[in-house]
Parts: sequence; C-alpha cells; structure tokens
Amino acid sequence: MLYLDAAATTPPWPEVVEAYARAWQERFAHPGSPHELGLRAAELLKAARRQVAELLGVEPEEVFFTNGATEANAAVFLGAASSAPEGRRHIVTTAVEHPSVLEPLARLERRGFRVTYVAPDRSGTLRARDVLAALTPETFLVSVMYVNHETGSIHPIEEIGAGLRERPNVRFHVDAVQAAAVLPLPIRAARIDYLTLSGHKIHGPRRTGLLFVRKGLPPPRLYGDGVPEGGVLHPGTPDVAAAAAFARALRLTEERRTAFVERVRDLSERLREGLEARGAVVLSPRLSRASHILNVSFPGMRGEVLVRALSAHGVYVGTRSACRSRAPRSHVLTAMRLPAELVSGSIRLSFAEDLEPEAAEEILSRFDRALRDLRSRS
Amino acid sequence: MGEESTRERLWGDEAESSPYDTLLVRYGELALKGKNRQDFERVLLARVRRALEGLAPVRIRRTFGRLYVYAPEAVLVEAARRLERVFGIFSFSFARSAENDLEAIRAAALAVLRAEVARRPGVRTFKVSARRTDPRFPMRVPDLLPAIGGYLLPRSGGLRVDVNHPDLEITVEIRPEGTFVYADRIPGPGGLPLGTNGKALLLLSGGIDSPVAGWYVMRRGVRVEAVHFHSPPYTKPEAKDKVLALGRILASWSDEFTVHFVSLTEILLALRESIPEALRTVILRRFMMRIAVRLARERRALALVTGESLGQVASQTLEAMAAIEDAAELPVLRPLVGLDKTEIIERARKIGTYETSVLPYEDTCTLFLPRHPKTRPRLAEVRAAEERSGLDISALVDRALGTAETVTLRAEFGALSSTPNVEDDKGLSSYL
Repeated sequence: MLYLDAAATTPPWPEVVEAYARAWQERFAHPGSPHELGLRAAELLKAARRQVAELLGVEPEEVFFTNGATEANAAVFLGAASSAPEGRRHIVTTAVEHPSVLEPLARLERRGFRVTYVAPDRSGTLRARDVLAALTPETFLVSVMYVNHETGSIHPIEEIGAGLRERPNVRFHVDAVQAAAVLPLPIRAARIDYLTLSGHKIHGPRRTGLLFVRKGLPPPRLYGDGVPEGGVLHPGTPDVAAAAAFARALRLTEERRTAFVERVRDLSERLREGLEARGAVVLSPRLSRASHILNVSFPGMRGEVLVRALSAHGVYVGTRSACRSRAPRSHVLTAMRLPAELVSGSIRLSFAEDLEPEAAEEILSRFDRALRDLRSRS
Repeated sequence: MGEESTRERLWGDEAESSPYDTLLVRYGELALKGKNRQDFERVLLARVRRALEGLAPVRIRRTFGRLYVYAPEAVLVEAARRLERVFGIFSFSFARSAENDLEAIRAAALAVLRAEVARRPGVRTFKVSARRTDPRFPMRVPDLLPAIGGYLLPRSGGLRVDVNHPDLEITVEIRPEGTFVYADRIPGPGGLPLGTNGKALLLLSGGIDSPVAGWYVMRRGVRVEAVHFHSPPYTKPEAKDKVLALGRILASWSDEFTVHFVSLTEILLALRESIPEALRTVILRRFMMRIAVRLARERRALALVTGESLGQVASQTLEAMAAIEDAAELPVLRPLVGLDKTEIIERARKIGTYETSVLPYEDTCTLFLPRHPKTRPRLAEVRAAEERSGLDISALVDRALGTAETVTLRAEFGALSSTPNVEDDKGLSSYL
C-alpha cells in the first residue's frame, strides 16, 4: 500500500495509540472530580498542556485543546469578531485558505464584516506585501495559513508578522495545520496572536486540535460565558486521553521532523521529476514549497478519475481538500488563475513519515500502469 | 533585583566573544567588625560554595572584602544567576582580569569596552575610572586615567569622553592580587548570610504576604522553616501543591526549605461547637500560635514569623495582635508591619513568589469562619471564652501536631521556576 494522502489525514503512530489507550484506561476519571482519581486525571491534563506549551515555546495558559482545527478556527473568528473594537469590521485573509477558515468568514460577511481575500500569483506564491497592502484602518484581524493544503506553498508569515508589528491592534491568526509536520512554528518570532493545529495531521487522534491564544487576548470560547477549564475549549467532559495523545504526537513530530524533512524532500524531488517526464504539470510552487505536498496536473485528464485509477494499483492520492472533493472546482487553484484544464486535472500527492525516498520508483511504475489503463480506454 | 540583569547577559551568542573571566563579588555590611565579620565571611564563603555546587569549572578565591569567582563566561552567567540569591552579597560585576601591567590593562579595558558597546545599543560616550590599591604598581591614578582613556578613545569606534554622564563607565581596579576591569555593577540581595542568625518558624499560608515575611527574615541571616495549616478534607489538595511550590521558591534563596503541614480540622470543628462566632478567628489563631511554638521548640527555632501587617484584614488590628500573641510563648516577628500592600506585592514579584501566591485556592481561614469577626477583641474576653468553652486545649494541640507531615524541598537551580514538578514522580511522562 502506498498512502500518498497525508494532507487529508495521517496514519496514527503506534506510540500515540498506546498513549491514548493507556491514558484513557488508567486516567479515565473526570478531571473536575475532587477525588483522588479525578485529581490524577486533572494532573495528566495539566502536564499535557504544559508539554505542548513547552514544545511551542509559549505559556501553558496560552494553549487550548480543541475538538480539531475546524473548531479552533471557528473559535478564533467567533471570538475575534465578538471582541472586535468599535468601528473596525475588516478582515484580511487569503483566497486559498482552508474551508474551515473561509466558511466562518463567509458567515461574518453576512453579519456585516468586510473581508479581503488576497490571491497568490500563478505559481501559488503569496506575497507578504500584498497581504500588508490590503490592510485598512478598519482592519482588526489578519488570517493567513502557514502551508497551503493543496499546493504546499509556504506563506511568508514571519514577514507578515514583522509588518504587523507596526499595527499592534491588528490580530494575526495563523492556521498551521499543514505546516506542523515539516516546519518549526515561530509563534513569537512571527508575532502570532492565534495559531491552529490539528492532531490527525501529525499522526494523532481525530477530533484533537490546538488553539494558541496569546496572553492578554480574551480567552477563546465556543458558546456560553465560561472560560475553558483546564485549557479544554469544548464544553462537556474533557477528553484527557486525547489531550495526552495530542501532546505525544506533537512531541514525536518535533523529534522526528528533521529526519522526515530530509527524506521527504528527496522523495518529493524524485517524484516531481518522474511525473514531469510523464507529462504532468507541477502546480505546486518551485520555491518555498513544503516538500510533503506536491500538486500536479495531467492536462486533459480529470483528477478524480486518475485518483481512482491509481487506487486500483494500490496508490492512494488526493484531490484538493478531501472534505471538499465533491465540490466542483478547487478554489485554491482557481485563485491562482490557472487554466480550467489544469485545475480539473490536478491531483495532490502528500507524504507521511513512513515513506522512504526509494518508494519513488515503485510509485512511478504504478503511475505508468494507471496512466496506461486510462489511455487505452480513451 | 537580579534576575533581569543577568538575563540580559544571556543575549544571543555574544558570550563567545565575551571578554569576561571573573565574577567580582562584593559583600559585607560596613558595620560588621571583629568576630562577627569573621563568622560572616566564613558562612558566606560556605553559602557561595554551596550555591555554585555542580558548576564546573569554577574557582573561588577570597580576599579582603571580596570574593572572586573564576570561570568561562557561560558558566559565570549561571553563577551570577545563583549568586543573586545568596544573602550577604551586596553586588557583583562581570570582570576581565589582567596582570598588573599597563599594556595588559589597556588590552583588557579595550576588550570590555568593545563587548559592552556591542551589547548595549546607543552607547555614545564613555569614561574610565581607576582605583589602585597595589602600591607596587608604578603609576598613580591621575596618570593612569589618560594612559588608559587615551588608548581607548581612538579605538572606540567614534565614542566621546564624558566624565559627568557617560553612557558607559569602564572601571579599572589595580589590586595586589591582579587587575580587574568591569563596566557594570549588579545588585545582590544584601543582608546577612543564611545561618548567621539562628532559626525561626514561619506561618506560611499560601497567600502573598507570608512568603515575603519569611524572605525578609531569611535576609537577616535567619534559617527559616515553615508550618502550613490545612484542613482536609475541607481544603483542596491543590492548596498543598501551591505551598510546596512556594517552598521551592524560598528554597532557591537558601538551598533547602522545610515545610510542616498540620491539620486544623479537628480544632475547627471543635471551635464551631464551643466558641461564639465572632471570636472564632482570633481563637483559631491562638491555636496556630500554640502549635507553632511547640513545633518551633522541636525544631530549635527561636522565634515565629508571620506575614501580618496592620489594618489589612479584620484580624490585623493591634488588639487582635495582642490577643493572638498572648498564646505565643516565643517572639513573633512581623517584618511586613511597616509595608504597604503594593510594596509587599512588588517584593513578592522580585522574590518570585507572587505568581504562585495568587493562584486561586481557598485556605483554612475561609472555612467555618465568620464573615464578620470581631475586629477589636479584648484579651480578657478572649481568654474567658476559651475557658468557658471547656476545650481541652493541650490535647487538641497534641493531636494536631500528630497530623504533621514534614517535607524538605531543595532548590532547583536548573530552572528557578515555580512550577512544582511533583507530577514527574507520578509517571506522567509515560503518557506524553
């Protein structure tokens, strides 16, 4: 099996499954219960929060566990909007954000907020100066993802953050879901106010995520007035085991990142060359690309058809955002103003930690078979 | 004090090019003389050795009124961080040592000047001051200043000399044991080295005041242990963690810190039965005094310490103090009595206890106790109430002492943090 859809979700690491199972079994008590078992559960929750904070170089009080990145993003926009200063109702974002950002923003637009969507260029590269130029005196929030989920384009968040230093009352949100596996997260250096992570993109459990909220900003909340207790955003019984498993996944990600990046860069280069030789057009930017995501298009072919053909040969790739696969067209590629033919022929290869660079040959030979299947039929 | 000034020295990778090889440590109250001075020096040296334990390579040398700590700069930074918490030290300087020879002194002064200019943005003017206590050195100060300053000026990268308000002052001390060049003076905590003035027992509540009170007494050379009163199961166990965290911070100012946990539950329940509501607070405090005195005697402590101030809360009136102290058979030191709350908070921040103190856990006093205690209890009235109650005071005190748990905490120099790491003992890392 050749799983090349890590940007959709990653296979769980056994160490993380083990942490989850054991924490669930051994520290199952409600962390709010005042008895010994409750205290022991609360203790683990607190330790998980502290570990995550340490890994990110922030304070534990700035870290909130969420039911995934979608929830974290929703909380950012809800919270930022409800605490936006009087008369400032403008938000700057990019045209290539994940739906979990674009959808809450669309809701805010219906409520009278103004949103500017900055587009990348044809190569998929986003320029910091274009983002900064979109700011108006009414802007109170800037939201830019770190790594694009379809093209792997790395966005210049440090440069944007540096530009925002002159605008201390503009808050800066970074969706770093696709970045965590391959890049360190420069929360302080990039002057970030809110940051979102997802557990299952780093071999952790589904329904786990993280929201960083800089100290001094109102604490995030989903509904009601309560401050999230113990750093768990979602109301209801906190999932201590999930928090522990997330903390472990993040620790292992940090520990394995350098080696992973080296391997995946090699693999990704071999595939890029091999696929170009087979007539593919690379849609990911040449420069400033996170190497675990590679977007290519076979002109004249439909992406999802190719996905199915590859699947028949045991190669599992993605087409754009998995949760949007049934929507007609990639908004990311469309925003890059690519010809329709390239957009509909696009597939996304994304790599998880377990692939060796040597897998490239096998993958390419299975591509050959899949392409042959399709061509013999047309 | 302290913490920030050394932290600034950690800027970036400049340590590599840093000229410093010595920490020049100044100590001693001028008033100390004779035998006292000798004791002081002996104890201080022991405290410094202890504080620097485990740091290598470090050499310590004592001369008249000075200590020298020799080490590479990276180690000096850590050493300074630790010495900022050694009572008895008045100030210290990062210094560059040199032979007592003009060329060597000039080179050292230039190295210090360049390092400081790189380190502090915006330095435009400087001056040189000099002191010579080595009579064998051939030049006198009035000749030295131009000899050094005149050498530095053309090599300073465009600085000007300003003898009145220089941005940077380079001090050269030529002493029999060698020459030391430095550019700043970092304040130490002052006071007297711990252990020169006996031992006292602190009533440590977990609030802002009592750790500060303990610190002030420690600064006068007194070893301090603490008693914390709790009332399980009515108080949360987290409150205990908080006291342990405070104890660990105080330990960083000594090297260990002992806390005795004593349960007041039985006494609280007994008071509820037999003491009129308005007097419960003051009588409870009398019990705390009695228990503390007994503990103090066991631990050879000669006085009690409280964080009481005047007028902060109802129990802190002179009348209440008199009624409470009546039950204490040892002197009760109240070092905060002359301070305003804002001054106490400011001090707590500097000591490092503030953030922990403000964590929200209720302590003993908020349970069972009246919302409106009598603010000016009369001693006679209080004594009469105790007598009328029929409580067996000494038996209650005995049983309370029987609940005592003693924990000795050690300073963790690795991270002078207030976070208790008790969790590490509970196998938490196996999940994370």
